[in-house]
Amino acid sequence: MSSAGTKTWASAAIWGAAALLGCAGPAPPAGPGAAPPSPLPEITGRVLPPAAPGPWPDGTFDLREIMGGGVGLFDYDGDGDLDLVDVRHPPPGRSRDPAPNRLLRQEPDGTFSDVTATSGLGDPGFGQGVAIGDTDGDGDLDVYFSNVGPDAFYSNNGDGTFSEATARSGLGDDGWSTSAAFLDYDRDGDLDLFVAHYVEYDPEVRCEGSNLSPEYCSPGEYRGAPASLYRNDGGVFTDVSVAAGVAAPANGLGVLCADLSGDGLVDIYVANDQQANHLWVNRGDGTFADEAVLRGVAFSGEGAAEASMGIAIGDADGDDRQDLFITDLRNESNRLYRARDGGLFDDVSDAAGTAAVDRPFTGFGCALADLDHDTDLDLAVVNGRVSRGRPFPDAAALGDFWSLYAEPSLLLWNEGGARFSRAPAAAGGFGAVSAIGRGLAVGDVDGDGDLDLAVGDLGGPVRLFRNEAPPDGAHWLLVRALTGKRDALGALVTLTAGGRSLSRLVLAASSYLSSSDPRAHFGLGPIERVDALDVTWPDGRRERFAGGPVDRVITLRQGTGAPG
Amino acid sequence: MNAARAGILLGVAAALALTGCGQPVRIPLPVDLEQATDGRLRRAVDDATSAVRREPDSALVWVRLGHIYLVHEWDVEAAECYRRATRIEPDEPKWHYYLGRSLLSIDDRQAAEALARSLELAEYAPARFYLGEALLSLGRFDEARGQLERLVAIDPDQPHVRRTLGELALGAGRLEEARAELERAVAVAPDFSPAHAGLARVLLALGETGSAARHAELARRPSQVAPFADPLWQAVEMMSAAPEGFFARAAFFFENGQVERGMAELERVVADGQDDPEVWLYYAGAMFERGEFARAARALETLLGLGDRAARRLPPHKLESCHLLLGASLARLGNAAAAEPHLVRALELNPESTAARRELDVLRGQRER
Repeated sequence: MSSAGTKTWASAAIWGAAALLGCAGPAPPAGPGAAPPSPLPEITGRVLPPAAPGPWPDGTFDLREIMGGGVGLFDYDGDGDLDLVDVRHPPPGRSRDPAPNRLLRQEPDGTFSDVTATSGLGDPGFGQGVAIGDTDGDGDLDVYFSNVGPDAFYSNNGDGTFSEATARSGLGDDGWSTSAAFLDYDRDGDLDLFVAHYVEYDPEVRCEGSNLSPEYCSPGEYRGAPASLYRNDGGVFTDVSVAAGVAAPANGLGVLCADLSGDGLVDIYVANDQQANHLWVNRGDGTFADEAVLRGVAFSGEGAAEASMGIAIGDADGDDRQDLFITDLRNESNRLYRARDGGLFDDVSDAAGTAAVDRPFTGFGCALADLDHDTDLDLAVVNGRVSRGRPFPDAAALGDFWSLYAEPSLLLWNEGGARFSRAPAAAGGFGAVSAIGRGLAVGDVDGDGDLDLAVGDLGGPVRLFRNEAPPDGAHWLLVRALTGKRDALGALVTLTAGGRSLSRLVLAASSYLSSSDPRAHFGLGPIERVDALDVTWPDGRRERFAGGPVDRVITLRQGTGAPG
Repeated sequence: MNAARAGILLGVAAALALTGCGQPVRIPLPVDLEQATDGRLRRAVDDATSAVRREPDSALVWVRLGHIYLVHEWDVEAAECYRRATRIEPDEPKWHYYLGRSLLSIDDRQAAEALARSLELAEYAPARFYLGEALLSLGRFDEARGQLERLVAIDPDQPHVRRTLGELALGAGRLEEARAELERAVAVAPDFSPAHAGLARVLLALGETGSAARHAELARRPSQVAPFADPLWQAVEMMSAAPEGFFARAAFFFENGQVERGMAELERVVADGQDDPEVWLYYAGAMFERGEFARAARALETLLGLGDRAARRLPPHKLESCHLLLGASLARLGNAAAAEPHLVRALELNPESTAARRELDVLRGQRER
């Protein structure tokens, strides 16, 4: 076990100043009656370089222009802090224009520099999402961009640059790819790749909205597209989608890979838009079977196939089982599926209090994360419509066209036992300004032990929110679990302390089109010492590691713990 | 300034004009009304807002405007209109019902209050059903269950109510009760996919994996069960400028014996180069039901002539329906040779289609005779 310190004082000073000032103007005056400050102030303008100026053009009702907005948080240069990748797509009406993605490197002072050109990661494709993982086991992180049109894979050279390696790696999907995830489904020690696809797009299909004027089409107007599963054999990938049984046509959007059936094997859950979701249960022989209906995660509790977009996972009710949260279209509540024994799930959105809150919104990116370090998982959801609606007053800056699609993000505090309440939006913070939110990634960007948020908006540049929710004295622990030199994606870390336990997954791909910091994060409240850490590795082995003090980052390496 | 924008501004100005009583009438106008290019919808809104300006104290004119808004998914504006109607006629249960329905997509608590008020004034099964749904969304499960059990007392075979009761029991961990409710739901409505989905989960939890898998497969099929029967809702659907409105009005006229007016509505919906395959299919179904087999056949041949792109927009089960209806229509017109390939195609698309099999057997039997 090793440990790493938190971020430098210089970085902390920058982030603190940014939070105090806010990015959109001075903080509201303090004093009696003043609104409380946001627990998640936006610091975009203070720490991120400016994006290309200019208003986003009005839409042309081409479905491709409203689904993108992926964002990734990862340490691409191995310097110990998280960097940002902003997945870009071309403006409406200019679908053939190059739209280079941006790589933003975090500097020691906590600001970010645009290193796209020098890194070679500026893939010009029609960007949608990003998957990040160490595919060759060399200890640095490689990047897969899902695009409308040819996808792109970039191999990390380990020196701060990337080499485009799509063709030589056997990758290169040219359909409409959406979320992608790295996983080791065949337990051979290297990372395979799953890519969801949305539709077989036909630009000649045009649609009308509820007011009988032009509007973006629903996916039902097109044929669904089968997902792709690529098996990694020594750095060369082979498309095994058909043989593995996952090539069913669908309108796939969100993807999450974890053991959901309880047999220790990594399964694949796909949020499908206006269709039954897929839960591809890993049979352990290289094939999968869709058990979503049987296990209660295909439909809403009312038995309806809904417009599922993003996926979050976490133990929302503190019973050491991993629950699922799915974002949906407005008038279809987001769904919280509580895990039961045997890999079964119940839709508990109504009892959780989320349904009544989020029904008016169209959710995309989402995260279950302990944002206030009280040991239970809170919810962050970014919203943005796919058809016109009544504008929120603060959306006027987006212009006449896009303001009708903007919605505020939602922050919901877990009051305990998976009962959620909406946090009031405070000026300058997460949820305060309406936008057309799509991607959401979480990670400890500023190195202070809590989880910050990166949001990818339609058309706009990536936005960053610093987490200031944890009260003084609330402790934390960040666990990096490694198998070989790479993050053990899919591993389950269970922390025990003072007679209770908390379970968190090691996971990068979740939410919508996005990739998060894969380290397992524990908010610990008053807990000052951890008794033990048990890890269930993706290959099924279990190990126990000694606990120790809190408020630090620790690394657990497979093979160095006591057999569990 | 373009004509549409000028029209909107005039509309807004008119909407805010003083009435004869000197009180301003604030008529809610959807912000994207400007983008509504359909002439019929624009006229409907203009006519309804004009009526409100003329008679601002008439609950009925507010409700009619609310209907136009609600059926075109302007829910917030619809709720404002219905709320005005409830203030003008606070003892009219229908207005509270419509208010509750419009609020279901906005605020469950307010929806529940409006629906409860409606039920205080008059019993109406759909109001009780949607009140149950709103209470369920609010996590008030016992109250929801109470409302639904009152409905069961009236109609023990209401599949939607049985299914919801089953889900409530499942959520509470009462597996045998959930099983009983959901089995009852699929017994009275075998094509009720959501009930099959719930039953699959219950059976899996009970360890009956084989039966669970069978119901899981049935759950994947498109549900053939109509929504909770709601006569009041027909008034809302009839205000739609979309094809659904034409069908709703036609159904209303047919129900009231006004066959010619009903047929006229159906003919209007397919006029002017209609290229939506679902509209043609629905139209053909309506014609088939009325015994207008030649019209049905022509409509379906038009549908199939729309080309690959249009046909691709139909999901497989609807394409199957298209061939089945066309085959059945042609058979009834005495054209067995033309009918058979369509019935065969329907069977290819769904080998379990009993209707296609029956039609084909009849056709071949007639030929042998």
